[in-house]
Amino acid sequence: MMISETTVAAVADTLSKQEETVGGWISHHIQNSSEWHLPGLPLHLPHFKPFHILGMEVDLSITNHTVMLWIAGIIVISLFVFFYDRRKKVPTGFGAILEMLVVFVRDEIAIANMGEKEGHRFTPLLVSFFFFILIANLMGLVPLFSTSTSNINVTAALALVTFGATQIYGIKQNGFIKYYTSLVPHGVPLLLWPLMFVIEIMGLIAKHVALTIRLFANMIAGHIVLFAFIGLIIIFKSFLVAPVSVGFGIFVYFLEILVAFIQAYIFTVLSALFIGMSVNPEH
Amino acid sequence: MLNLEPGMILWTWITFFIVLIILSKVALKPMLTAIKNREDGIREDLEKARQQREEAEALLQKHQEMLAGAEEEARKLLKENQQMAEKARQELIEKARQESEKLLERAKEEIDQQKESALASLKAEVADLAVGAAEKIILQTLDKDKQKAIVEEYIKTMPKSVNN
Repeated sequence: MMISETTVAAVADTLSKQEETVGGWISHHIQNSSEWHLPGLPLHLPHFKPFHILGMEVDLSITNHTVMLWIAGIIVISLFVFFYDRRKKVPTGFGAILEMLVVFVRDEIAIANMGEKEGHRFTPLLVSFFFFILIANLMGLVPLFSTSTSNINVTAALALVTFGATQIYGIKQNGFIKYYTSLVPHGVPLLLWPLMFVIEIMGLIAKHVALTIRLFANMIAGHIVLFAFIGLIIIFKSFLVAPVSVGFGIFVYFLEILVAFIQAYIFTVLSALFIGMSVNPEH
Repeated sequence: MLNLEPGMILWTWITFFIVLIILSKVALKPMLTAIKNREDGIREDLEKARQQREEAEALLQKHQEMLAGAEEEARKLLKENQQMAEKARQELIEKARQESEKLLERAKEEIDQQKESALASLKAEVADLAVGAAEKIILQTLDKDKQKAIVEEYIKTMPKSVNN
């Protein structure tokens, strides 16, 4: 009786520990860290002393996600520099795909949401958004690399770029006062106007917070699900679970490829929409 | 997982803006210009092709009209020629007819003349023959007295001036 009780307790303890280790393992994999986990060679990245500015502790240490961002940037630039031959009048092969995507972003995202004139102006920004986010998303699906867009700070920074663009170009285009007063729709009673103004400002912020959360949540969720399916094998301590786990894992992996494209597209479209709305306010 | 890391945000901005600047300067600007040029070229070519097709159609229309005009002209000329030929034929026939009529007339006249003269000479001959025959008859039947009486009578009927 006693033995069995202790055995049960021990087993339960081990199980809970294992579950904990699985959880820890998952969060370890998706979280930012100061080292790049290459197999057998954990690469320690340089650490800088944090400094304080505006009451915030800014730690510019190179982290795993920073490196991933750099690699994504290098991949994007080399795609355009090495795979697109400018001298060819009609692009072929991979260059044609790149050009097709650029034309798609220009015509279906930029011009469709901003109009002819502004569309051409913002196409480089939107193309950069699309390719940068797409490559960063897809990098999480490559072994040894991780997704920098599953870090909320990265998506927040990208959404802040959109936010900055909406404010700067909105004010530039319409003037400071006219831009902010035109946030409130026409025909609002005078008494309600201050309230509507506050609501619209909140909405403006909420839109960009939603942009941040959408990309971050989508990217992190897929990885958690993927790791959790694999983790089931360890939790159940049985090879019998493996086919199911691996099957679902592969399914989620392909889903993730789809999600990577969709999220890059959605982020770009919404950025175009927001910038277009602030540059050409409705009247 | 949700903690704020200003350092990460800064790094993201730095990376993204470097990518944005390099990409737009090195790749996107020439690429978009090339795409725009190509699109403009295609649009121009299409426009030019449309214009040329319209021109060709107009030319074809003109040619067809000209062809129709020429056909009409040819038909008119042919008709005119036929009319002229008909007229000339009619005239010729008329002339021939008149000529033949004239010839006939003249022939008739000549025949009449001949007949007249023949008749005249015949008359004279007949008269001579009658006179001869009469002479013979008279010479045989008249005696001396009767001759004398006739001469006497004939002399008597003569006008007086002959006597002088």
